[in-house]
Amino acid sequence: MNLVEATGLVKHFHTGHGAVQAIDGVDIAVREGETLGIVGESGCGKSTLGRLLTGLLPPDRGSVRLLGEECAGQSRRALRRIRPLVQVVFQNPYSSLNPRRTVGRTLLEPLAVHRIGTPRDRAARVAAMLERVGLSPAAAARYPHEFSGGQRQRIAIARAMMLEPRLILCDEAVSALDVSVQAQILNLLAEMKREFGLSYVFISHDLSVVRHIADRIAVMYLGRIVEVADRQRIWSEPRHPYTRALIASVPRPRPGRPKPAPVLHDDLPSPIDPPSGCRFRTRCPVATPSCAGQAPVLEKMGADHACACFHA
Amino acid sequence: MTGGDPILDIRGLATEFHTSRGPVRAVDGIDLSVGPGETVALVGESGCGKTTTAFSVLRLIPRHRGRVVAGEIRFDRLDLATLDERSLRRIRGNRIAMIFQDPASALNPLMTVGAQIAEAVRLHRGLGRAAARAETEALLRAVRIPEPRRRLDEFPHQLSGGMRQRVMIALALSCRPRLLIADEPTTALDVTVQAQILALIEELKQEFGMSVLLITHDLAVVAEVADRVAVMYAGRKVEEAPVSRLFAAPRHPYTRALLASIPDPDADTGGGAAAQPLPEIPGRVQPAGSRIEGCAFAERCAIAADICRQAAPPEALSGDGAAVFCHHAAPEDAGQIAAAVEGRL
Ligand SMILES: Nc1ncnc2c1ncn2[C@@H]1O[C@H](COP(=O)(O)OP(=O)(O)OP(=O)(O)O)[C@@H](O)[C@H]1O
Ligand SMILES: Nc1ncnc2c1ncn2[C@@H]1O[C@H](COP(=O)(O)OP(=O)(O)OP(=O)(O)O)[C@@H](O)[C@H]1O
Ligand SMILES: [Mg+2]
Ligand SMILES: [Mg+2]
Repeated sequence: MNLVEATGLVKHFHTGHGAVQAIDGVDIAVREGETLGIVGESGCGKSTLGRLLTGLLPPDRGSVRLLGEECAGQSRRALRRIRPLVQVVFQNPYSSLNPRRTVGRTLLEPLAVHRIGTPRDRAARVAAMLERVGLSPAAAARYPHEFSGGQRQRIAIARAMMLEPRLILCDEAVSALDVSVQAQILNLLAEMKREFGLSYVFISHDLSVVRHIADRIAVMYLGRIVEVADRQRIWSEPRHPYTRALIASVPRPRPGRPKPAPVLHDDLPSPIDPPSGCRFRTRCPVATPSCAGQAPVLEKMGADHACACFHA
Repeated sequence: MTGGDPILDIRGLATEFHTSRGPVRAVDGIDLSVGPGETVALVGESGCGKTTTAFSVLRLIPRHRGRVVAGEIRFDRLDLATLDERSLRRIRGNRIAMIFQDPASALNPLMTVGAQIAEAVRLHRGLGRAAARAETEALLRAVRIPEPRRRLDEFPHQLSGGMRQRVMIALALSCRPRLLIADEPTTALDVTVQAQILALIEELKQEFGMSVLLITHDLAVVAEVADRVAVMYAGRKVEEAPVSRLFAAPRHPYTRALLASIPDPDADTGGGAAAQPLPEIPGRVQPAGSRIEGCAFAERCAIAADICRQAAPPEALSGDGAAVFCHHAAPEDAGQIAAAVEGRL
């Protein structure tokens, strides 16, 4: 079953320099109970895709079906029915938590807004959720600045969980944390998923982290998905030259291993004026003149594996 | 790699910040040395004192914020800890260059990239205006900035994050330093750009015969580029070893736990199955300035005993400059400690 089904997504941002083609023709689904990882270089459109998939941002074109309901072109009111089922955890929990509100009030608010339970119920649920994410119920009376980065991320996860969502968008949710704290939060997310049958869209520029937590991984380049496969396969049998380059660039915790020469040179081309045809061709080691013509589309490469490359 | 006297030799460095609660000791008695042509990595979690150590070496901590309270910092037969400000200024950005954690703080937003580097080149190398501009262009080319001549006239905000970081490196190298202190030089960058920058530092190291003190919390990066590693915890060094030894046989329980908590991208988990939970280090670091009688890691350590809370662990040295500060680290007992920690994690 698919929780989210997106087809033909296009999202351009209009700026003084022209239209930024943040998302330009994306088809992807999020399955029930899965973690879909999204990776790619800064500016390739990961956050924009995450917001489109969770109905937080309307697409210019294309359709997003969330739990069977079409989001695109929906009224605010209709979206509000879906909203509680979709929550977000961002990179910087400090800026996303109101500094002047106690943690307890922050967690109560979604329940109050959606008129869930009696006031006493709500307080009990807040206490239970704080405990579930590894904090003391006494934390409810304290303010965000009294907590460490990792603890604040626990609070942000608790808040996201209050309405028993089906899908959580984690946008660089562990990127600002130290490795040891990161391990704690990754484990917490995995436990929550198992316990509540959640799905995640997990965005990170850290491929090792995505490789660890995701079931399936989509690789993006300049507003498009170039390859998608299950976590094992994309690592052992990457088909797209960009995926290969990305994986080769990941530093490994193994001193003395033969070092691959950096595979990708130059910076990402501008998303305002992307290359014609295959957008990766200007940096691609195997590009041929024909890559400048038609844009390659995602083709099936076997079970649970698709790749958009003429030379895959 | 290593050979000859160290370029930088830090002994017993302690640095304090003035705070409303009184002095806070951010670095508490660190020994660290960097040999000629060597890359030494300083690793540890946020707040453990890595940047403070680097700032202490260059005496960059403003007097009203804090000061070096003890220790020697030997560089080229000089003691930077006691050197007068004028002599220090001749060393900073000249024989020792630094790449800062926050590139925004080191580049002047109101000056073109070319003007900033040219200024440094003229100041440190005494070149004329035209020669400085040519040298600047050569430096930008050396750090692989495409179309360097055009970039000379651009302002920092017109560059991507990766290019800004390369400009920082060009600026740091403009004086041909003997020692480069790089504080999280690639943390904010994509892996692709990170790989380029690390390869570049390595290349320039060979070319200029430079030593590098690399500060980072990314252990995979350390594995890729360092010769030797010092691990810090709460202002103290807990372990130091050649990089291959540290990864193969970490002797301090903290080092061990830290290495275990990084996701290994190449772990073979078999057919799409969800990964195993990562081993966690329970609890968290005590705030800087807490009074610690014994081992700073004792509260979170799986094998801590009474002695660990009472007495600071002694330094246990072994060959090739490796050292560990742990009551339970017998000299060549790596295997046993490993088993003990794993059994209880
Ligand atoms: N509101 C906006 N207005 C204009 N341009 C935007 C806006 N939001 C995003 N963009 C542009 O769209 C492109 C994709 O941005 P997005 O934030 O989705 O990338 P990302 O992959 O999440 O990057 P990062 O890894 O840096 O977070 C970028 O070029 C970005 O500058
Ligand atoms: N100006 C200051 N005043 C008071 N305390 C400070 C000051 N600067 C740093 N500290 C404290 O000193 C300790 C060490 O900080 P430092 O910046 O050296 O850590 P770090 O290891 O570089 O951390 P990170 O990985 O986050 O960069 C921290 O507890 C920090 O809060
Ligand atoms: Mg983003
Ligand atoms: Mg620092």
